[in-house]
Amino acid sequence: MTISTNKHSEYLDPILVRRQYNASDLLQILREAQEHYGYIHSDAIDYLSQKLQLPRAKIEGVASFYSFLYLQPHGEYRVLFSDNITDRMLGNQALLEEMCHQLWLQPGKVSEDGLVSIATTSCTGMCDQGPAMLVNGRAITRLTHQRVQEIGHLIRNRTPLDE
Amino acid sequence: MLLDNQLTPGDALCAGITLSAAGIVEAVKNSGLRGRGGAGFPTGLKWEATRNAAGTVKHVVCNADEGEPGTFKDRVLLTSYADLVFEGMTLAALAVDAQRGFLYLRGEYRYMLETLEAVLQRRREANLLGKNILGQAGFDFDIVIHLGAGAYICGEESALIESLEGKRGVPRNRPPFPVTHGYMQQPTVLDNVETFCQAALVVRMGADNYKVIGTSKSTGSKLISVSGDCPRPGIYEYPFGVSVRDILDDCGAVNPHAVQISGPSGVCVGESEFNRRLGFEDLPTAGAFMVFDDSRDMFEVARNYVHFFAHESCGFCTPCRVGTAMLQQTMDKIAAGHGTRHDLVEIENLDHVLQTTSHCGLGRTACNPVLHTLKHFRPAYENRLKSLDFEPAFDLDGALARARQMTGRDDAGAHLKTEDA
Repeated sequence: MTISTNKHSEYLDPILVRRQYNASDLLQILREAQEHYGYIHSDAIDYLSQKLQLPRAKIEGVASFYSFLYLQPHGEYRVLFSDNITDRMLGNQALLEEMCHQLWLQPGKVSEDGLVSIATTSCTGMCDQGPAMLVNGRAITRLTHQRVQEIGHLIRNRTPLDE
Repeated sequence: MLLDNQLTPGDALCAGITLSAAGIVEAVKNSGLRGRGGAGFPTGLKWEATRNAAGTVKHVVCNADEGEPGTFKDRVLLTSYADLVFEGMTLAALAVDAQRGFLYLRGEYRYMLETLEAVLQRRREANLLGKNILGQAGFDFDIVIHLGAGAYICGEESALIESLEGKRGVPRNRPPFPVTHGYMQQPTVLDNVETFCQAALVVRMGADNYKVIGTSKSTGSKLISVSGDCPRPGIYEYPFGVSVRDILDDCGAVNPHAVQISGPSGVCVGESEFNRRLGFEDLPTAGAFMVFDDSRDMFEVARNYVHFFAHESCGFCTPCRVGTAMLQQTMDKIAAGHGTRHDLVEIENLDHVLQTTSHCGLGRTACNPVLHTLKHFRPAYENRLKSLDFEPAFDLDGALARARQMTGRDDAGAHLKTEDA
């Protein structure tokens, strides 16, 4: 899978213009850049490095520091179970296992078809409505076996999150 | 008070303009308001220091990186009281003469971004942000939202500023403090979401009316995020000085035997201490209140928190990076039934190293969940220990598992003989 540099300039240039080529907005630029492919492509880092006049190592250093920035594809759907003790007490581990089983994948790994990955994340601030998860940044609360099954079906059918 | 406030956008700002910049600082100082993010630094002193700091370019930053497990009050404030948050920030800008504000929103709250941007736009249209706010010549201030990307450490104020500047969120050496050397090394007011809301209330109500609420050293009210074993979890507002038991009664907790106050880096309170009171005099809190009933294994609670710290250590300083991982391994060893008395002693030694040598608060508090639960629930640990004084963490036979898998063998000859087997 190669993506030409031009292809990156297409979506990166508007971001860079909006951010006025400001290196101090690097984290914001990376976040916005990631929304294009769901991860930050290696060639995109080269392009940003050139345009922001930052060493590639510096950009990778920032990108690898934050757990919501990805340098590798993590599937079209990124499912993150909130893993605070309050979520655990409400059975999030069984729900995670069930969802992994349903979608045929291992926690932390991307499914073979590149569709979905499932992992845990630190408390998502939904402890009053647990167990909770984030699907591509969207918060879903009060999970039950039935709801997890339904979410699994929606993902398998590639239903967009907005629907 | 905060949750049932009747303020309309602009109310507190008009009151602030009447008071003038110096008057706002004076009012916030007199109110006794202290930071609601947990540390409890007097807000008025912070604003005064920034106001007096040298430099013409100043900033106001709102810390909405609500990462402490069990806390969700900022989520509610930003969802239902966003105007009040921005109003507090604008008052701070007026007080210290800042031109630019940032809301640092944690990555987990990305879904709020569009709504918050709309609130900001509405405030610009109402002349509550932008140039010459409310017709005051020279009162120019605007707010931009920066998103975090899933790093707990960015809740620490200097790490947050590093992150705002587009860098890795590694805490800075302090001093100098943000009040003189904050964003871009310029004077910066940095407060928690709830603190800005409370400051707006102070300006609107007047310091004298505000400080009669709460206790002498902890004035005003506090939002408490109640979760865990209770039928009515959610956000509660109390005047400071409320007892743990009162909150437990209100949320309907049945047979509670422990409460984790202020999240993993806070304090675990056992049943014998339920008469203790929330406030900077006794139990300081950022707001988390996780309830555990008597069916819960407090060892597993502590182990969850320890894993959290090991995951969130930023990796900059060795004591914290290695120490939190060692603590995690020790807790996992005890959980697997290989723990001994020696391991409990080691945890105390580790705590000493982390307390004295860590770069920031994360490392210094990482052992707290274990030490606090050990104090109240020692049997939960001791029941898991072996009677031996020491057992190595390294499992010789376990290390051969891979070789066994590769050769397809699992007979007695492929295992090391142990004395008790």
